[in-house]
Amino acid sequence: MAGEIYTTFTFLGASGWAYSRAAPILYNLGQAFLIYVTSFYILPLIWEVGLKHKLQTQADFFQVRFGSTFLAAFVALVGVVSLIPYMQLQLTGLGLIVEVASLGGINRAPAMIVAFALVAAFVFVSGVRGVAWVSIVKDLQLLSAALVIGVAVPHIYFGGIGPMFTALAHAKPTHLVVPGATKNLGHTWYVSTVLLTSLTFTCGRITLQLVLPRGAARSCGVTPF
Amino acid sequence: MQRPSLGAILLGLVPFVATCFSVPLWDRVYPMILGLPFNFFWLISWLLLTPLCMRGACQLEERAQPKSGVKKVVQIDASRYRVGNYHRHRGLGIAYRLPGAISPHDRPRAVDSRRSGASGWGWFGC
Repeated sequence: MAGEIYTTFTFLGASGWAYSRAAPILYNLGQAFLIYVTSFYILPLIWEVGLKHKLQTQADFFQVRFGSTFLAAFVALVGVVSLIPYMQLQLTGLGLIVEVASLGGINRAPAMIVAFALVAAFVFVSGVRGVAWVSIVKDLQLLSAALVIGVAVPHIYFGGIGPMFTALAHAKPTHLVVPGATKNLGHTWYVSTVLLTSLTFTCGRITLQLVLPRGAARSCGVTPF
Repeated sequence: MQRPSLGAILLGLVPFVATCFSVPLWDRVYPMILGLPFNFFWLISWLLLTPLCMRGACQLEERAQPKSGVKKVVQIDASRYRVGNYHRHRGLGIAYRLPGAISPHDRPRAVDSRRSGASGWGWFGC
């Protein structure tokens, strides 16, 4: 929404997953670069078609490509419906962050409402450029926080990343290979999940929305989500 | 834009074969390399090797550009675009300047119509 692929999941979701399920979180590392491999082959085409036909949304794409308004409406509907759990995830994460950061002083629900209103207002007012800048600033902060935590925590508690993994391998050797702490997330699951995420990332509403050259449209309307 | 060449597609398949279909082969803790369990090390090294594969695919694609295509001069009407909008996409790292791609910042130049996408849907429409 405001900023794209590095979201609440990057911090809370992924680390929570790693904590509860151990090694299966490797799927997240595995798909992180494969999504760009599929993007290399598909996104330029979508960009080109979007530029040529001045497309603004994913539904526009289907409208122009297949010449069916019904299909376009269906795609728009599916897009909005599938956005609901995504938004819920992001807002819950946001509420959690505010609640924890304020040491319980601010409740989750009001934090979520205020944050949602602020984000929506920000996106409507600032437009595409503002969102791009937010993503730059936010990604720099994310990267520095990840580096500090990823280097400092192992150093403080174990004396380095290597010793941390050695200690982990001695304590829980099975946690470091794929079924991890789970029973059913094995190699088949890994392959299918990595394939699914790396193939659909490109076609997902969020990514597609960023690639369609909105600037090409003369009206240059802002699509906030 | 043309259908990607077989070489470019094969190069794109390399990271998939190395990190996705072959999980049982590399999903192990030992030998630990640089303090990392072997599966962590394997994925992180492919994080670095994948861009090399894609660099190769990109070069193959550029080389596959036909030398004696039908050339025509495309006049880009800059007034139809809001100048500067493409910088946004570049800032996000998602502006694709593929061979033949037209940008409002381009000076009028000879564009190969077989690659420029001006002729239709590219290989999407095949």
